[in-house]
Amino acid sequence: MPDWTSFIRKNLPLDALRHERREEIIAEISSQLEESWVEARARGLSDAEAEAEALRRLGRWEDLVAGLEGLEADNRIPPAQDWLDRTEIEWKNRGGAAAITADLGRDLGYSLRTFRRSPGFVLVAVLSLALGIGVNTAIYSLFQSIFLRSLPVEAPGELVEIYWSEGNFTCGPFSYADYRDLRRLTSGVFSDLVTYDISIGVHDEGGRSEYIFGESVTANYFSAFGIVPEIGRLFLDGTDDAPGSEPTVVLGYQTWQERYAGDPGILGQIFRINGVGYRIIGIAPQSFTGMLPMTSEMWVPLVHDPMLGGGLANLTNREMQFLFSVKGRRLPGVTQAEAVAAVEAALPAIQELHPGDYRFTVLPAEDIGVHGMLDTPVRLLLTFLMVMVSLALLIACINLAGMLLARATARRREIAVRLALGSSRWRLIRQLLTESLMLSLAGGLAGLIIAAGLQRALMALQPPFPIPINLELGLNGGVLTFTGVVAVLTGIIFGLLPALQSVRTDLVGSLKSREAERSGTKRFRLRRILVTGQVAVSTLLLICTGLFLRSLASAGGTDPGFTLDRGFVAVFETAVKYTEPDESQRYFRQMKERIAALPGVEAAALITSLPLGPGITITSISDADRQGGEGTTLDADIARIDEDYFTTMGISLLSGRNFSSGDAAGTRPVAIINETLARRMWGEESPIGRQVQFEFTEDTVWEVVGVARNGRYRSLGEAPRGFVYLPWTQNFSSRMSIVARTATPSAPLIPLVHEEARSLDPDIPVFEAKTIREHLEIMLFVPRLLAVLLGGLGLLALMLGLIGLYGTVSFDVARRMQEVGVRIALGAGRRDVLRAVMTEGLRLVAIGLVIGLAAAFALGGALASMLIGVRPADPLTYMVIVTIFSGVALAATWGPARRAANADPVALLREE
Amino acid sequence: MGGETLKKGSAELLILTMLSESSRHGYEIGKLIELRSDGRIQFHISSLYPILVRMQKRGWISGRWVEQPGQRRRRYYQLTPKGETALAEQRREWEEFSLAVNDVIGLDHA
Repeated sequence: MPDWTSFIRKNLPLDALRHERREEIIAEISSQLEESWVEARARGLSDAEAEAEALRRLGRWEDLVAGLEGLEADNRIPPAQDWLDRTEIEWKNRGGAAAITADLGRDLGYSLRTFRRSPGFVLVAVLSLALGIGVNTAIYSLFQSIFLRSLPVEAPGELVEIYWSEGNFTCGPFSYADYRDLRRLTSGVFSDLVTYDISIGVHDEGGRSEYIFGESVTANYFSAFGIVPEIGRLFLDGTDDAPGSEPTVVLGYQTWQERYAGDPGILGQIFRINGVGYRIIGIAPQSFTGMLPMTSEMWVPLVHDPMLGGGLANLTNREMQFLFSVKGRRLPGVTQAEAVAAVEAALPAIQELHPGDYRFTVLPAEDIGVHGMLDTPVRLLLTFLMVMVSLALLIACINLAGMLLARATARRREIAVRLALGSSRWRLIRQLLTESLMLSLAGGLAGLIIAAGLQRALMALQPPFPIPINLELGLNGGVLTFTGVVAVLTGIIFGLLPALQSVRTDLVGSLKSREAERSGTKRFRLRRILVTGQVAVSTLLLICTGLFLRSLASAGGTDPGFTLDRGFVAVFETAVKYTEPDESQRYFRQMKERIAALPGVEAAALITSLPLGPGITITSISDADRQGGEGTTLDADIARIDEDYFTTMGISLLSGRNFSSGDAAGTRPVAIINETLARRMWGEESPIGRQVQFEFTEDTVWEVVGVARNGRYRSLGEAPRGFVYLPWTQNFSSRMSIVARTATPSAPLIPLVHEEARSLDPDIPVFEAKTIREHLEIMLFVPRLLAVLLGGLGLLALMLGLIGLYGTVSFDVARRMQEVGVRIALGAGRRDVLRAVMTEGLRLVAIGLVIGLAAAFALGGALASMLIGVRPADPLTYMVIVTIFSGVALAATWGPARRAANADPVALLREE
Repeated sequence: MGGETLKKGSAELLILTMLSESSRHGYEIGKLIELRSDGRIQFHISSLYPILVRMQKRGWISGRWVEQPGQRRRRYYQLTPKGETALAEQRREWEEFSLAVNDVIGLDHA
């Protein structure tokens, strides 16, 4: 026998009645249906026939409700002050949570049945929400993994980060000697003060040499961060960094697994780095990959840093500021303010040993990111992306709200009937909210799939750096919470608006069918506002997209300041083997000769680090003859080059002379500066023959012998920047790049470079070798990433905008078909109808466009720093976007308008 | 039977009559009316139920739930003294009315 009680409960819309009374009615009616069914079965009817018979006997719900109307006044839930009171009474009357859960089940079932009837609507709604939520989740997880992750250490909230600051350069590196003094002077507030740096060495084993990346750290590093070894031990303060101690190394868990298959027997064995044997004392736990944004393969004590090559001068020279970061752990009970005060109090004592106009900047735990210098631009970039993806979600949400509103209008009779049958408005709102929440949660779930795909794509986007970046993106608890909250908020906010609108219905009017159109007018006004808003947001997003696409195009075409476009650059690090500058220089000369002799190579030159790459060296330069005067000390970037650099790169000298082989160690120090620096230091006067000094070479006086043409040094979009070239022989660097100009495509030459390096000295592998084009990719990486991401978002916005606009115009046309019929009957031509409908649609678009353009114009300033060669108010971008959107709007309005124009007026009027 | 209005007007009289014989449950009332009219008068449950509720409110009938072993729980209705008065009243009105109508439309009544 069918479950008649559930059947009645599900179908009888008597929510306004008290619980007991409602149950009584359900009981009696279902008992009658049972009687009927049993009787019919007794007469020999089949189950199905008996059920049909019972339903026939039941009659229409409307009759039942109409009959009871007025009779049940005593049993109604009393109207309360507001919906909250009412809900509470209803809650109590219904028997609390259990009954509400039953209601929820009913709502869910009802929603599912409604959805089954309109799969197209569900598909579009869920898909657009999934896209919106998916990109938000992906970008949020990126943001989280960089800024919101807690450091992989014990009690990260107690940490502070300290930088060496001078002028507007706030996040500078410490020297080891200054760090030692700061540690000693602040032992009252920090339980530990640690420092570490990127360490790169060549690991050779079984005749195979390869680079190994890790960190050189102070011996208190592991204990300060509370790291427990996987096996073995970690560094001990005072043991592993003691003078004359044996070099030791801690290997990363991944390295241990990959190189030694997790063999615990490697403890105590020798691990060769740069030809020096390091004893393996322990393995770091799997959860700890180091403090740098990469997976460290090894840790060595700073005093045994393979890059120092045994020469400890760099640790005592206070001008050698190279440490990546200094971090401290506050003692229990010490506040951030007290920590800052203690660091500031230590400053004068350190300045006595290391004179200079600098200060220390202390960052609290919550501001510690990857590195102070990178964090600001990355944070800006990610915040911008978050705003953009939020806008995309907003568009998807507006779409959902619009579609729900349209459905609500289409379902106004159903809603009116249910209201008439005694459903409370709150109950109906809950039903409608259940629907929108189901849509948004489904969108959220599908969004997670999209997010996972996007995350994989993001992680695969390895920036063109030689060091592997460790970007761990996943759908962890935080990300899932974010997605859940976004989905629920989306469902509630954008479902509530249409739901509130739909229950504010004129009952009698709605039941009288056609009359209802009038009550829909207000609702339609909301829908128009939504579409206008959607167009505005899409326009804003598309303009940003357009600007970044233009920026990418312009970056690709920016004059980098040199003419070399076919060639390659190879980087070599000699500190892995040599300690004496002479040995290194001999190596570089020989390597350069070998490269110059490669087939197709026209010219080769040496430079410390090719401009527009990740390596930047900054110094202050001052006029030696005008000490202390206003504007006599300036910041400039610096590079060491040989005499072939300018000709190889195609950089012209504007005055003076080039370096020559005569500018060697021991001869008079000379320098070449660029035109920007020359103008800033001496205006229109000639800089040739001027004496200058650099901060990092203290007392040495350098003579300016030439002025080179300006170029771009750090980024393609930068403002003109001062630059200094020094002869590589007069200022030693153990890491040099050899840049080559080739007559033939350069990519096939890269393997030959590796071969030459192997044959010249197998202990010094090529650190990095790439074509010039690949090198410039570094600078294009961010603009390209942005252009791809925003391009995708823009396309999404355009698509969603199109759907929304098409939906609204179609809906408007369907709603006004009667009016169209009358117009045609009264003699309006099809052309007039077409025009009238399209004008209406295009008007919405025009308003939205104007708002969007105004918003883009107002917000454009914030983008300026991220754009290359394009003004935020770029007229071309604005024009193109307006054109595209107008085209889309025309397309979206054309279909419905034609349908209206081709309608048969007689048929339309007969419908009335 | 086609006359919806007549049916509605006579429903209370029919129900009161059914209950004057014995107490009955809701389904039984509808079924009996149908049987005795040879199927010419039928009430849907959805129409009959509100009438029962209305009559209870007026105090003409009273209902109580009865549970008997081996049977479903049913709600039985019975006539109250007030209902008996109402039945007499309605009977008289119906007789007078039908006579009057028959006179007007020229139908002979036996």
